[in-house]
Amino acid sequence: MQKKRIASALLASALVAALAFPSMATEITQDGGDTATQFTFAYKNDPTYTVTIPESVEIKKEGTDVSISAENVENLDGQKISVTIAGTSAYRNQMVLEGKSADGRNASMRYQFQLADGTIIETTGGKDQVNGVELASFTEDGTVSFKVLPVLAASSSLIQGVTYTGNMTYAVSLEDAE
Amino acid sequence: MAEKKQKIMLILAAMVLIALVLWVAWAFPGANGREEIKIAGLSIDPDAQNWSASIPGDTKNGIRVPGYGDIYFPANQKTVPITLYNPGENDCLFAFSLYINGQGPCATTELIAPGTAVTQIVLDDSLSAGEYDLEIKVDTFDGKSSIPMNNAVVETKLIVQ
Repeated sequence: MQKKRIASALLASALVAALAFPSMATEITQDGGDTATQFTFAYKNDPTYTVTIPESVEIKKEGTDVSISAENVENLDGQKISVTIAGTSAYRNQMVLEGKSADGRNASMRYQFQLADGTIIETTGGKDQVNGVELASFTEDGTVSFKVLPVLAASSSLIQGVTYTGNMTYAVSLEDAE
Repeated sequence: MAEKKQKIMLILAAMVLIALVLWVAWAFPGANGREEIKIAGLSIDPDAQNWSASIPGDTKNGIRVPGYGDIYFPANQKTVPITLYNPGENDCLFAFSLYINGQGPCATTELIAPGTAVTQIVLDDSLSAGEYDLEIKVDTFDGKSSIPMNNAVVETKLIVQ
């Protein structure tokens, strides 16, 4: 009997509590009424794909294979991911590595890319000669490989026994796929 | 009575010691034995937080650079949301800088360690509604030697609304 009284009291309390909450619906009459719906949108701007560029390359005399990859490629809507040369650390964005000899002389060495189709990409002293040259493009996950070769033709700035260093900036963009 | 006094003194002493340790850690960041990283005038960004992304594929040699589709900023606000992320698979530190319509940098970060990201950035000036060309420059540095490595610049469209 006691249990039944407690259960009934609980049920009654629940019923009263439910009726006590005001209706969440907005009342609209023929005379109008207050209406407001709040919409919120949170910008996230997260990355949508990943491109892997060469980290550091020890260029061998016979050339070194390097690669550029794309992952998580999706929803491109008729576009492609294009990876091009944006510049280098050398003067006038030349494809040149620089170093210093043991006796303090400045040394420099040109290098070139040899693409899979045999195309050679190199600079010959001009400004921004290879900026914008496309090295790889992707419409899906994949890898494009090419060779980096030293240019060892006789040059007064090429000194043996020097460690030559330099870096390159790669541009990554979405372009209309051909 | 004497025992109670002793307990109070012990508690006060412990509190003073804790306060002292916290003050040392705040005033002297290197005092905890870890070396503070400083490269090209940049330090580790204090706003960088752990961030994970599901990037499939094997770990390869190379620098993983996040790419972006269209970016959306709110108009007339200097603090804007953008996830600038250094994938955990990388060995190098990132420093990001934003260029808008070829001008800038309009915003920069400090060094971002692998596996961390900042999720918002403060622009030099707020932008009015419209479309802009956005370049997200990623400078990379070897974490051990501080030597600059190959860099990337991600070009995308910025929509301010």
